[in-house]
Amino acid sequence: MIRLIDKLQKAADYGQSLGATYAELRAESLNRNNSQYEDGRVRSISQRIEEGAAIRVLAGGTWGFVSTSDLSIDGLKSSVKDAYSLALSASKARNQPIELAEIKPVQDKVLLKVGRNPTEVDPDEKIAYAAKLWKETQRLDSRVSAITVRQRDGYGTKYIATNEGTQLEIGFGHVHLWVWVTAKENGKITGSRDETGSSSLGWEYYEHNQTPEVVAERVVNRVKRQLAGSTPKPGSFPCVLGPNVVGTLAHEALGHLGEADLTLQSPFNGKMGQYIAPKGVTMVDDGTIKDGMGTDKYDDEGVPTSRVELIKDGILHALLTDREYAHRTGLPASGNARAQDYRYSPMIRMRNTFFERGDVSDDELFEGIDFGYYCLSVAGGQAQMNASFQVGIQEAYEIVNGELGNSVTNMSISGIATDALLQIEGVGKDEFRFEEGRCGKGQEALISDGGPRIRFGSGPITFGGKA
Amino acid sequence: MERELRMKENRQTLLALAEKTVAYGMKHSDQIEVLIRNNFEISAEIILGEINRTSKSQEAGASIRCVVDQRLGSAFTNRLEQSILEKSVKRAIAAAKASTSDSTWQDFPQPKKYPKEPKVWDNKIPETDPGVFVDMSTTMIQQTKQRDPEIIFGEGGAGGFFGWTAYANSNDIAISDRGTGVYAYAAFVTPIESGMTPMVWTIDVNRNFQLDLDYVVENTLKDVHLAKNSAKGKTETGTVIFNASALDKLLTYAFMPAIKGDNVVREKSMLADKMGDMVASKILSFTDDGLKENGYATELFDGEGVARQKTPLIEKGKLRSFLWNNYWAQRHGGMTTGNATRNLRTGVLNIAPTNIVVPGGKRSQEDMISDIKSGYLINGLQGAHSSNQETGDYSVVGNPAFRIKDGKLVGAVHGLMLAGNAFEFIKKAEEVGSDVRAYLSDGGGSIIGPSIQFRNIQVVAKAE
Repeated sequence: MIRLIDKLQKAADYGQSLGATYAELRAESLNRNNSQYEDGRVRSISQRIEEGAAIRVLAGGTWGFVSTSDLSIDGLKSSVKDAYSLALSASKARNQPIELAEIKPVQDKVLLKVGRNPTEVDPDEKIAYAAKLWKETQRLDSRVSAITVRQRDGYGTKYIATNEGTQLEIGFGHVHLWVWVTAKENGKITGSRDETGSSSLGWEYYEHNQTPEVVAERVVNRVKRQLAGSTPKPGSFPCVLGPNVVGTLAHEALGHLGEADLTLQSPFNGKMGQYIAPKGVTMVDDGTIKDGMGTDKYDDEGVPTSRVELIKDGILHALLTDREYAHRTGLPASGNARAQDYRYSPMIRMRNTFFERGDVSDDELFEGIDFGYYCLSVAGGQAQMNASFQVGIQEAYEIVNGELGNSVTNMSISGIATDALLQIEGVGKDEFRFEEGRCGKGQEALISDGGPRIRFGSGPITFGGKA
Repeated sequence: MERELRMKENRQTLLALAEKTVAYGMKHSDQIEVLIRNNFEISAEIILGEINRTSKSQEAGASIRCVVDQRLGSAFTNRLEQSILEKSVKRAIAAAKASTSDSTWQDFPQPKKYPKEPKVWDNKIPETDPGVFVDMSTTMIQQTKQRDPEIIFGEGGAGGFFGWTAYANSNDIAISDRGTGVYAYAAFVTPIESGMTPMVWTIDVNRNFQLDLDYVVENTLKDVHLAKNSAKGKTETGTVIFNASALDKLLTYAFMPAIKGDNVVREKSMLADKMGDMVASKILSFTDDGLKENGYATELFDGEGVARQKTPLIEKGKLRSFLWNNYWAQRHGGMTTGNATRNLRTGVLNIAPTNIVVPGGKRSQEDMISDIKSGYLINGLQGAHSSNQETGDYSVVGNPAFRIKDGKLVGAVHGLMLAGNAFEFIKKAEEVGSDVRAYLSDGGGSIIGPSIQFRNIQVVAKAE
C-alpha cells in the first residue's frame, strides 16, 4: 500500500510534468469531536473522522485550487489536472504574474505528544466536565440561570508535499472550550462568555490548567459584574486596557494591518521604517512560542514559523507574509500561511500576537486619572481597513482619582488604531497571560493574543455609552 | 442532456443513500435521521485589482443522528459511500450511548405535505465554465479602472454554486432538494489624507444566472467616493438611517436571539412573555420567508427535513411568532416553523432565520435624506457581534457612516459609535424607504428590505 505522503508527492510531480510552476498537495486525516451541553442536558455529541486534500497549483502566473475527499492516486492526479486548468483559465486576465519567494525545501516529521489524546477520552468524561462546570457556576452564584458549553477537539496528521521537494508529516491537534453563562435578577437578564484552549496540550489541559472550578469562577465573576454594573458614559476618556483587551487590539486593530496582503490596502502602506508608535512600544507575532494556540513548527506552505517584530521600538519594522507576498514585498517568508483545513487555500494569518512588556508599574499606570475606565475582558472585536476598531467589553471598571471604582456594563471602545498607537502613555511591566481564541478572515484560525496593561490618554479611544 | 441526467441521478443517489442508511440504522437504534449534502462551488477571486485564484471545491457530507433510550448521538462523514455511512451510524449510536438521557426528547419530525418546490435551480449554473467567472471578474476590474484608476480594488470576484440535499428519517420522511446560485462582489478602498477610507463593498447574489455587475461596481464606487470626503460627527441623540445590511447586523446579534424559540424556553429571551404586544414601531413588519422566490436561503425543507414556510414575526409592531425547530417546538408544546439549521460537522441543530423580508415604503432613501437637517446614514456596522444577546444592549461603530447635513450626504465620519438597546431601538423607526434590496445576512440567510430611518438614536463622535 502506498503511503499517503508518497501519493501526494507523485501528484505534485505530476503537476510539474503538466507545466505547473508550483504544485502543492496538503492532506489531512484526523478525528474530531464536538459536543454541546445546555442547562444540565447534552444537546449534541458528535464524532467524526475526516480525510481530504487541498491541491494548489501555480501556472501561467495565477493560482488554481481544488479541494477533494478523494485521496486515491488517480483522484489526486485528476484534481491536480483540474487545478492546473483552473489556473490557466485566469492567466490571460492577469497582468503581473504571481511569483513565489524562494525557500529551502524541508523534509521533516513533527510529532505532537500530548498527555491524553482528547479524541480518545471517553465522552462520559467530557460530559462530566460540562456538568461540573454547570453545577459550579450555579454554586458560585444562584442567579446563574442557564449555561451553554461547547467543547471541541481534534487530533490527527497533516501531510504536505510539493514539486520543490518539501515533504512534511505534522501531528496536530487541539482542545477548545466556549462557555456562555446567563444570569437573571429582578427581570434583568444578562450573559458573559469565556473561551479557552490549547494546541499543545491534550485533555490534561482541563485536568490541570482549566478545571471546571477555574473556568466557572472566571465567567461567574464577569456575569456578576454585568448584573451589578452601571451604564458607561459616552465620549473620550483616559483609560487603562488590561491584557485581554490589549491582545485584542494587537490582533484586530493592528495585526491585520500588518498582514502583507492587507497592508497594501491599509494605512500601514508605505510606512515601513517609520515611527508609528512611541519609542519603547514593541508588538510581535510569534509562531514559535511554547504552548501558544497559534504555534506551529511549519506553516501550510512548509515555511518554518518565526518571530516577527511588526512594531519594534515604535517603528513599523516587518510584515507577516506568505511566499507570494514575501516575493511581492521583498520581505522574508515569515511562516504565516495558514489554512483552516483541506477545504481552504492558505492565506496570511496571525499566530500569537502581543505587545512586549514595558517598564511602568501598575500604580503609575493609574496615577493621575481623575476619571476614566479600566477595561479587562473582551466580548468580541472587529477592525476595518481604515484602522477603525471596535472592541466590545464585558468586564470594566471606572477609574476615579487613580483608584478603581464601580463596575460598568455593556460598553465598547473604538478608535482609529493608528491614531491610538501614538497616544500610548505607558506600557506596564507585569507578566501577562495569553488568551486563546479564533480569528475569522474568511476562514477560521486558532490564535492567541495578549500584552501588558497599557495606558492611553484622553482622545484616541471613544467609549460607546449612553448619555 | 447527459449532464442533466447525471444531476438527476445525483439527487436520487443521495436520497437512496439516505434511505438505505436509515434502514440500516433502524436495526440498531430506536430512531434515526440522515441528512446528506453534496455542494459544489466554482469561483474566481480578485485580490488587489488582479485575478489571484480560480477555485473549485466540493462540500460533501452526511450528518447522522441516532436515538437510543432517549439519548441522542450524532456523527459526520465527508465520504458519501454506503459502507462509510454505516460506520458513521455505529459512531452516532456509540455517541448516543455515551450521552445522557433527555427526558424532554420526543421524536424526529413526522411526514407532512411539502409546498411546491421553490424555483431555485438554473441548469446553466452547473454547466458554467470557470472561465465565465474569470471573465466577469475581469469585466469588473476593467470597469473600475475606467471609472476611477485611483481606486484600490481590494477584494472581489464572481462564482457559482450548486448542490443537492437529501433527508430521510425513521418516521418515513424521505425528501430531496436542489439549489443553484451565482454571486459577484467588489470591495474598494482608496487612500485619503489621514490614511485610508474604510473598505466599502457590494455583493449581488442570484439563484438564477443573472448578475448585475454594473450595480456591483457603481454602488461600491459611489460609497468609496463619498468616503473620500471626511466629515465631523457630534455626540448627540439624533436621526439615523440604516441601510438593510447594517440593520441586519444589529438585529442578528442584539434582537433576533430573543425571537429564537430555544432562548424563549431557556428563559433567555426578553420577548418571552410579549406575544401580541407592541415590541417595535408600528411602521415595522418582519417576516421570515423560507420559500421566498429567488431568496438566498430559500429551500424546500430545513435541517430536519421540515418544510420551509412563511412566518410573520412582527406585524405593524406587534410580536406575532417566535422561530422554532422540531426539538424546541416539542419542548415548548407547539409546532416547528421549519427554521432548523444544522451544522453538519458539529452535529448541532440550531434555530436560525431564513430570508427576513421587510416591506418597503413610499419614499426613496434620497428623498428621506433630503428632509434631514442633521443626521447620519449607516451602511455598515463594526462589532455588532459583541452586543449582549440577552439584554439587547449594543455599542458599535458605524463604518461606513455618512454625515447628513441640510438634506445632503457630506462625507464619511470616522469612528462614529452608536450605543443603545436593540429592543428600544426598533421602537424608534419612523420611516421605511422604498429601496428594497437583498443582502446576505450575518445570521446565515438574507435580509430583503429597505433603508429605515430611526429617531433619537445615541451617537458618539470621536474626539477631534
